Order: sequence, then C-alpha cells, then structure tokens
Amino acid sequence: MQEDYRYLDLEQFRSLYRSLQNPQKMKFFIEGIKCSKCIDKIESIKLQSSDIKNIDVNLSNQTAEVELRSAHLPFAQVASEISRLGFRPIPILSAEDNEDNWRLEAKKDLIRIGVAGFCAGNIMMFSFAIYFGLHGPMKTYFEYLQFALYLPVLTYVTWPFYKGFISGLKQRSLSIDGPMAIASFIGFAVSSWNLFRGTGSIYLDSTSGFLFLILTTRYFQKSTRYKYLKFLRPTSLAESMKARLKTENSWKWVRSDSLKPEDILIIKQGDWLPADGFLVSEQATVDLSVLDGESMPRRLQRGGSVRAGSRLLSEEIEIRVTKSGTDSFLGKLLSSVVIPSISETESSHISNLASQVLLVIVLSVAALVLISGFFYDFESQFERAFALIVLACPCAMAFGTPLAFSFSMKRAQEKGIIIKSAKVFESLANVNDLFLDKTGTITDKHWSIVNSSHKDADNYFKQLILCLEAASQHPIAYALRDNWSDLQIPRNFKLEDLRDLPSGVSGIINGTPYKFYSYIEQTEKWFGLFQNEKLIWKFQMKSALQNEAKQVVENLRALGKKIYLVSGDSVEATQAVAQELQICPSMTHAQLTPEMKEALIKSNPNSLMIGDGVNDTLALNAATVGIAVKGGVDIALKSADVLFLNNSISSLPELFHIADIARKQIRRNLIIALIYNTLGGIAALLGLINPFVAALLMPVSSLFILLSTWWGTRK
Amino acid sequence: MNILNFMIPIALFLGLCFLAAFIWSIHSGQLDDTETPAHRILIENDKHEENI
Repeated sequence: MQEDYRYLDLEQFRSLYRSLQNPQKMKFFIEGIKCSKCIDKIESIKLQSSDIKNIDVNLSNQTAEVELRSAHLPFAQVASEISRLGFRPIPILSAEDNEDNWRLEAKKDLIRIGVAGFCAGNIMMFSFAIYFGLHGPMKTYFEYLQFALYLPVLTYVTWPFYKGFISGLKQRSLSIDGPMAIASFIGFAVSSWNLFRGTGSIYLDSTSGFLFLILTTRYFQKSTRYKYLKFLRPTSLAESMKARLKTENSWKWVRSDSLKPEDILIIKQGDWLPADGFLVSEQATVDLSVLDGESMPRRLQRGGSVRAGSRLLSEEIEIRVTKSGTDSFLGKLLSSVVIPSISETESSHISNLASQVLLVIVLSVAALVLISGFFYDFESQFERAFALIVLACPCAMAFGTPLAFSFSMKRAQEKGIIIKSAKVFESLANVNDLFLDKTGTITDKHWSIVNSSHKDADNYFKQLILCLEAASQHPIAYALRDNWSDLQIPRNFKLEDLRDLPSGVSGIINGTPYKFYSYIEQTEKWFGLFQNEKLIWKFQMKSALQNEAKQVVENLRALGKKIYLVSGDSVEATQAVAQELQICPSMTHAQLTPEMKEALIKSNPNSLMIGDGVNDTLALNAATVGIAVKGGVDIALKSADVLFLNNSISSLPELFHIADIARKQIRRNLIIALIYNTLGGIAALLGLINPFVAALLMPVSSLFILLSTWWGTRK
Repeated sequence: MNILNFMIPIALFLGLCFLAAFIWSIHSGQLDDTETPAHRILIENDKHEENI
C-alpha cells in the first residue's frame, strides 16, 4: 500500500515537522525497522538522489533523520521512497522531540565526567605516593601538582553544584547540591591553606574522587529517566495532524486543526482519522487500539460516529466532521489531563525532606564548631568542621532514593509495567482502597450471545438491530457489530426518528416502529427487539471473567486491601461479577458515568483506580494511583501513572511487590546513610577522624549504598 | 628521583591526550547511538559502490 507523503512539502506541514535547529532536517519514526538489513536499505536511498545529504538511521529509537542539501528540496520523495521499501515513515513533530535536547545535555555531562575522572585519577596517583611515605621536596612537588589538577574540578566540574545550590537558595530551600559545592570549596580552601603553610594534609584526592562518583551516578539516573520519556512520544498525534479535505473534484491536504464542522474528509485505507465525525460512506472498519487498546477492529455502518485517533482498515471512506482539533475526543482527552499529571510528578520525596533536615543540622553544627574555633584552637576546630561536613553530608541519603527508584522502574519495565513517575512507589504504600473497573479490566472484552429465544435468529432481526444501533458507541453495539460482522444493513432500510431510550434505542424502519433495549426479567438482564411494542426476539449477552482475576483479587485481599468494583454497566451484571469475586454489594458501584466514577474516587483519598486508558481517564487522573490496562502508551500515560503492557490486572500484585521492595530499599538506604552519617559525624566532632579519612570514607558510603541497592532490587 | 621529573609530565600529557580523545569522541557523536553501528558493521560495503 503506497501512502501519499506530498503533504510534507506544504509549508503548513513543514513548519510542524522539520528540525527547529536545522530546516534541512526532518526526523521520521520508522515502523518496521528490525535489523541491520533495514538500516542499509533505508540509508542507501541517499545514493539515489543528489538532493539528499544524509540519512541517519537509529535502530534503538527506530528513527531515521533525513537531511537534504537545501531547505527547499522535497521531503515527500524520500518518505515515499522509504515506504516503497516496505516501511512506514511517520514524521515526528519537532516540538515533541526531546532527543536533541537530551543529547546536548548528555554530551555536557559526559565531558564533565571525563574531566572529573581525569583530574581525580591523577590527583589520587600523586596522593598515593604521599601515603606510602614520600617526603621532602618531591612531596611538595606532588602536592602542587594535585593543586593544579584540582583547579578544573573546583571551577568546571563543580559548576552545576554551585548553580544548583544557588538556585535552591533562591527558592528558600537547601539543595543537596549545597554540601557538594561547600565540600568542594572548603576542601580546596583547607588543602591550599595547608599547602602554602607547608604542614597538614591535602584532601583534594577524595574530594575530587567523590565529585566524580556523584556525577557518574547522576548521569546514570538521568539516562534511565530519559529512556522512559522516550515512550511518551505521541506518534498517534503526529499521524492525525493531516487531513484530506474533499474539494469539487478531488481533495487537498490540510492541517487537521484548521478543519471546521461539516467539512467532508476523504479517508484512505491506513489513514488515521484527523477529526471526530460521522460516516458518510456505506460502512467502514476502524482500529481504535491507540485510543483504548482494543486490538479487535470495529465495524461501523453509515451514520456511525468515528473518533479522531482511530485508523481506517477498510477501503476509502468519506466522513463529515463534527469536531476537530482540541474539540475532538482525542484533543479533549489530551488537553484535559496533561497539565495536572505533569505538575504532580516532580513532588518531593521523604528522603529529600530527611536529607534537608540533616543538612540544616550538619551545616549549623559545623558553623558552631567553626565559630568556636575563633576562640580556641582554630586549626583543629576547622578540621573538625570540615570532616563533619564531608562525612555527615547526606549525599548517600539523597542519591540512595533516586537510585532505588531507577532500579525498581527498570525492573518493572522488564515485567511489562511502565511507570510514569517514581511518586507511584510512595503513593502505593498509602493506598488501601482499590477500585477495579469491570469492563475490559477484570472481564474479557468480548461478549457472546447466550440464551437466544430463537435457536437461529433470523438475519432480518439482526439487521434491524444493526440498523438501530449503527450510530451507537456503546460497548454492546460494538459487540453486536463484531458478532454479526457478516451482515450488512440492506440498502432499502430507511431509518427515521431515531431516539435514545434509557437503556436502548427506538426508531422507525420503513414505516414500522422498532425498539431495542435491555430489560430485567427474573433478575436477569435480557436484550429484546420489539416490533410495534411487541417482543419479537430476546437474548442475553455474557462477558467472561479474565482467568487471573479471581486469583489476583484474592492476593490483593491478602495484602489487606479493600477491593471495590465500579462499572458503567447495569446493576445486575456488575453484581454477578462482584459475587464471583466475593466483593460485597456495598462495595460494588454500578451504572456510573465517567463523572460519577471521578467523584467516587475523589471522595476516597488514597485510592487506586485501575481501568481503561480512555473511558476512565477522569477517574484515573483523580486517583492517587491511576493504572491503565489499555490504550496506547502515549495516551494512557497522559492520565494514568502506570500502564500494564500485557493488558491484564495480573500485573497488579507484581506492582505492589516491586513498590514494596523499592520502599524497603529506600528505607534501608536511609538507615545505612543515617547510621553512617551520625557515627561519622560524632567521630568527626570528637576529632577521631581527620578530614582526609572522612573524605575517603564518603565515597565508600555511596558505594555501599549502590551495592546494597543493586543487591536489594536484583530480582 | 630525577627520572620522575621527566616521567610525570609525560604521564600527565598522555592522560590529557586521552581526555582530549574522549571529548572529541563525544563531540563527533560517537556515543549518540551505541546500538546501530554494531549492526552497520554487518552491511557489505560493495553494494554501495554498485549503486553509485
């Protein structure tokens, strides 16, 4: 299937996609890149045209960056050439692409680490010679070499710490960068003082070695974090930016945010729908997997409503736009939930608070000791204060926590659990009320017809129901379309006066009034088709529990959690599931609208909601921890904190387990650091540890934390 | 110990050379993508020349 990429060369689209730094560059996400052959295939396109300066394929990101010789040359040609080879290039919105920024930052960090490593390594070599008894003029020579090698550390390497310290002070908080900046500076001050007067120790070796270690662990954290952010790249959004607007005898490309209601769009096979609307053509099959994770295609009949973000699987269709841009379902979804979930993520952690308190204590005690030095033995008090700052600085405490988080997030990812922010680990500890959404979360997505009143119901009945339900987005309507996908609505059916009933629809088909709705007969839910108010066909529909659901609920109960069942479905259907899971009726809530679910969650602080990535966005966003079991990664993570890639709640106990381990590890790290800092601090104050040993012990504590974290979260 | 006066500058100089090489490698983008080049080595070069 050949796609049309000519839109890439229209100015309105170019400005969206091409690189902000270099207008000759455009980056594509390439669907279908798997192996080295693919790299070669795509990159050798550049040999075919002199317009192309370079094509750079990145296998781990599945992207290709195309650079042309001039900004006015066409990109469409390259894109269609790539698609001719059997790949699907999707242009990446330049505003959404954070890779360039990350690369730039990573480069700066790596160079800083390189310089720190070079200086620290050499300083240590010289200091080792001194430990092993070097003396005389050679010792002084080595000390001056250390001094010279420390100058870049003091300025260039410590720079981000100074910056962090000062910006922390501006916000009236003590940043953890503070003690590092102070240690680096005081270490240098004391060492140079000792160097110039010719006696006393030099602490430059361990100060620089420590800074090197801290920088390295920080880089490690940042890159783990970035690897998560990569998931958030919204390709589905980029895809629905383009629309084919019908013109008098053909169509033209326009941007979907410039569409107006009543515009007629042409959608070709494989296209993403750019706006909400109604189907003008006879029928269509669409894939909604990006929106709700449902992999089964949906069939729609004429007049059926379609949503932006779905993908057309069948032949070319026409739709009439009702809503576009930010008014569309997809647009609303993305804009309504983005802001709160992002602003919440960077909240402060317990350990941050603990290290803040410790920092204040350590710094004020050190200051007191230093002041007392002015009245009594300045040098020894100075050394004690310095040893205290170096040894009791809560660096290990501060980095133990993010380290445990990154290790745990990585582990969760290996198990198919994508976690948006580390905050989840902490929130999970306080969560006692679990709200499970019934449909699709703990029951299977597919309904089947049972207990039909006619063994082989007449196709005519089914066609009548399909005609009545053609425009419906209700899950039952989808289920019926799936079940009867071999049927079509006959052309001579004329539907008039379509109305919504409380639990169904009514309409007049070819002059005869019909109703199709669900009703209760002997506590069971039935669906009935009525002709002239007379029942002509009835049947029941069932959706089965997911296999693991029962086991999972039992496991969670064993953890002491209260389980609630919520559903938009009828009371009976919900109660039936609740009974099977042994959830008492008072904890079962049925017939809830998305807004009611949200209100219910809001009235229960510390709640966990697990549900659909799309229908439940409001509730997921309101919950302390929202877990999506369906939906494309980009959309699900806009509203939820966690996404289960395997679309099943069986990951929930696993998530609790991982969070538990993460918290235990953090506590262990905190305790190790606290004991270490307290003992060390006391020893330093008593003058038992000189600044040099203190500075040497400091990286040891960080190393200890690193090993402990690695060990604690390894499985 | 005179030999040290000669060797230490050399050692530092060598260290600086490596540091310079490291910085150069970062600026030239060698660490931007650590996965793709491993696959690229498997591509036969001859084919490119045919295409030209």
